[in-house]
Amino acid sequence: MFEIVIGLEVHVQLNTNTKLFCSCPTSFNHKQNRNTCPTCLALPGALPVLNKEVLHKSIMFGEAVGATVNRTSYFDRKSYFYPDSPLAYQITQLYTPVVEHGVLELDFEDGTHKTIRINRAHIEADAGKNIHEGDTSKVDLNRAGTPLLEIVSEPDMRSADEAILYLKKLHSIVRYLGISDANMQEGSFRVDVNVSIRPRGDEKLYTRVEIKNINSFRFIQKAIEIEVKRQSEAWEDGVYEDEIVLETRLFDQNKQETRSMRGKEEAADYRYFPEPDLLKAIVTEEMYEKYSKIPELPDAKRDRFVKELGLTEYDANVVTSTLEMANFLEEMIAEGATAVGANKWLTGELPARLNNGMTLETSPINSKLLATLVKRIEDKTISNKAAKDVLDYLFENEVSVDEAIDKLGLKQVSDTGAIEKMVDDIMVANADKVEQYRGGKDKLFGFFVGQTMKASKGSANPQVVNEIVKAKLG
Amino acid sequence: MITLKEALKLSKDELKKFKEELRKDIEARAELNGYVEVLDHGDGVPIAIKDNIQVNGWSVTSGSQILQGYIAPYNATVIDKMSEAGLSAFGRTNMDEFAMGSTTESSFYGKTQNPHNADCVPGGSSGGSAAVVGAGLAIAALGSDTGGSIRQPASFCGIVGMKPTYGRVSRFGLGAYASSLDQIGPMTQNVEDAAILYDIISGHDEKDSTSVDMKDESVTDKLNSDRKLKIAILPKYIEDASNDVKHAYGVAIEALKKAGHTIVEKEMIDAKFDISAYYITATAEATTNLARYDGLRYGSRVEGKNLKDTYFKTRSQFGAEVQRRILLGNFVLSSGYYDAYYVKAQKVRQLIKQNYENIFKEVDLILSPVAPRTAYESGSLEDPLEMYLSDIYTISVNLAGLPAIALPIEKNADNMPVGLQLIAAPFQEQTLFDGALSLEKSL
Amino acid sequence: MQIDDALLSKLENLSHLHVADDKREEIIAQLSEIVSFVDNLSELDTTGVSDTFSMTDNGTLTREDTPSCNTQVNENIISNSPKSGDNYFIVPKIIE
Repeated sequence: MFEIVIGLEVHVQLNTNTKLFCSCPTSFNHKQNRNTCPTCLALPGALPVLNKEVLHKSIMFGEAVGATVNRTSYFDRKSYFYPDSPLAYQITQLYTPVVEHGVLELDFEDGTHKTIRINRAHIEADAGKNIHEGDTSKVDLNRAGTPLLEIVSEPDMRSADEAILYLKKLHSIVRYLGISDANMQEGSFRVDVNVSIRPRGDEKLYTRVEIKNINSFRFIQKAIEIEVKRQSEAWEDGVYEDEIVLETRLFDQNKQETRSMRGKEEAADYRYFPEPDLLKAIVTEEMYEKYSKIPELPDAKRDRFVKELGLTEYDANVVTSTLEMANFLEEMIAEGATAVGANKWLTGELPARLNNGMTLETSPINSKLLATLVKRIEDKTISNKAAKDVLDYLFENEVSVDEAIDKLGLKQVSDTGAIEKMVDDIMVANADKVEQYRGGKDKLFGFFVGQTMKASKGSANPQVVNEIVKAKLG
Repeated sequence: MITLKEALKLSKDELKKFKEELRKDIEARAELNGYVEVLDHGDGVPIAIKDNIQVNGWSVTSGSQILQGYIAPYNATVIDKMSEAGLSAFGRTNMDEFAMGSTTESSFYGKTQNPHNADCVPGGSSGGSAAVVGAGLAIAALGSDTGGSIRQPASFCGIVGMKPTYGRVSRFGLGAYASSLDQIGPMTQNVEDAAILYDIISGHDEKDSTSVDMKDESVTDKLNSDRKLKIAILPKYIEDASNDVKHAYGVAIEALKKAGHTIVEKEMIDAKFDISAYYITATAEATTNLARYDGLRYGSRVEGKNLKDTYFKTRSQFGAEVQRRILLGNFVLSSGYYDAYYVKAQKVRQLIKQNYENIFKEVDLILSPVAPRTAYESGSLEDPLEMYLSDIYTISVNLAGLPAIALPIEKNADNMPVGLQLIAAPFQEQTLFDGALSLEKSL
Repeated sequence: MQIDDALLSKLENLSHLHVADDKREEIIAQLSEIVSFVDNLSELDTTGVSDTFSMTDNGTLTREDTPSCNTQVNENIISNSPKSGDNYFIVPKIIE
């Protein structure tokens, strides 16, 4: 009955060394307000000067999404009072942003695609932070003035799934470009969701509701579902006009509902006008040449992995979903592991063991270690099953793969002589079962294999055992 | 009072003695109220500084209650440049609150007297700087000019006041009033001193994005009062000025002719449009430039019952004129009015710029009045609109970003100074100073 | 154009200041007079005129991404600020 219409605004904190309009460091300072100066404290007489790296990273993003890079863009003042906004205005780009009209491709699991249009990406300054304590608030301006790139999509998404796919792709691109840490929990990748509904077949856009600052993909999905339900119910109950208004809501994850942020006051009048302390931002041809160079993007890497490494499109998608995994894979292959083997362990066994917030970067298993493990399987030193035990061991102990194998005694026995002897012994000890097998009880094949494996304490090469048992039983 | 040129030749000891004497003289004439505070900031030639230019360690308050308690933690670029050239900030001078005014009557520190008549205003907003130089209580001073705030008080106090081309002097450290109009400039006893001080404070500053990146050439070493220039006069413009001003205008024209310059007649756009474009632009920029004054990080905070109340109570410390301009600024920027007022004003600004460009195709300088009359009696210019209209001769210069210099021409029957200004094309400071020097000599 | 009391209240909100009650009428009259005056701009034909004023055609200055911070500045501001604690600026509670 209803079609869902979703637009997304993502604020990406750029990882420059200094702030947007002053030379204060953006790196973490444990002392609040230490990374501040006249400009970001908004003292009398302070003035902004543009950080060229911000232009650089914005242009890289524009290139990555096939957008137009405006060779001339302007800055504007957006006025509002808030303690974390020392100037009482934000310097942003309303009228002419640096990047416009890009696209982002969504790849569905069934192999189909959808193009989402990106309306614009513009540069703006971040605000500081407030901490509430009793009946006061404490203001820290270390973050005030940090550069943000606000990326605004067209309302092209039609489901929460599409929205999440878009966000994951955008996140991946931003990380691949190296322009941001893009950490949702830390606040360097902030998502505002705009949701509206309309009767199927209707072309016009109805009232959109903005849901701000939800810090995980899971909660975004939930928030969209809840909000769509709220809007649909209002429509069905005939109270749509009254209940659904142009407003900002917050997602309450405990109560599983969205809550209105503003009272019934008028929408804020931001009084945008051109920033008189800055001139127009010009991108010369020389600058464009230099700044538009970008590294290989997720889609290109995925296609290359399919073509050159022989991975399936599905597998390639998974392993290129983060730059860290893709690099890890290529390092493993450089160490001599096969692509398929490396992929299996990198995207399967390893992630399964990352608990308690451990990530690929923080786990004790580096690419060299995992590559060696895969090589030992591939050269039949250990069995696949044994390798899992070795991996567990490596998580707890700082040793080499070979030391672990020795320690655990998991070296696979492939020596046919030794195995033949074991099989012979078992056949002698179980002559009756040999008779039964030869008489037609095929199921007993597994018994002999199992006994041999047991006798070898699991270290026999199962493939070799199979071949020998088969040969001996006849 | 020793000139800046002479003072630069004094030794550190001589300067020390000089300052001791100067402090006594300032004390002796405390009722002038030109200086808010007499302070040292180095052992160079002492220069009085308007209370909106940051000097590290000083209370710098833009003549406002809301900045009481704020101590500037850094130097404006012009202060550093002065230090490098052997000059030192010496005392902060009174001004109209946040540079909004033409009489220096709206300051938190009370009004400043005109040095020639205690019942008259010194002009504004750089009234304190003008008064101290005019009273012989400073070698020279720095002021700021957004709509005439250097030139008009210079004219009322009988001294020289110069506004550079927009972008020639760094605004870093100047408490902003209207970002696209403000400039710091010299206020001195004579034209040559103004050129010297201009040379010292001007130049590209990478901390000010609106600072012009062009080759810095000093004007003082090339001053040439013998250059023959083509100078425009504005007969229609001067119609509404007082007889004193008209008389001075005639005197100046004769002096220029005598010096061998060519005089031509030109017309300007009706000044009523200048006023409108100025007050729309300036208040829009000012309302946002003053929004940072909320008492949360520095200055005077008035605690309210909650955050919003604190904002309101704190910001109600602004004086009446400042409040008016903040309200007006938000009006012209607010949705529904932005296009009709702010955007329109920017287009008119373009027309004013073009008007000047056309005139400067044919002439080197324009001779213009600075104010419609001599200094007003204290308390007589209370109606805001009337006050705004008194800026008719100075504001178009700021709107077009041109360099201009006011210099004293004569005294009227009441011994009050009458000044006029010369205006040059953008970046033509050399021509401006050459012409001014010539006029000064010829009078 | 006329400013009325409702508009003044709106402007006070945008400006985050209160005009003293006994001054309200006066301010309204003054603002009305000023706004009526500046309405004169509508007499000028500005079709085709650019609305971006600048002294030169230059682009804005850009600077290198090299950190530098004089902590003396922020130390001084914090120590002189109306209310601070543990290097934070302390303000009345912000209600979300």
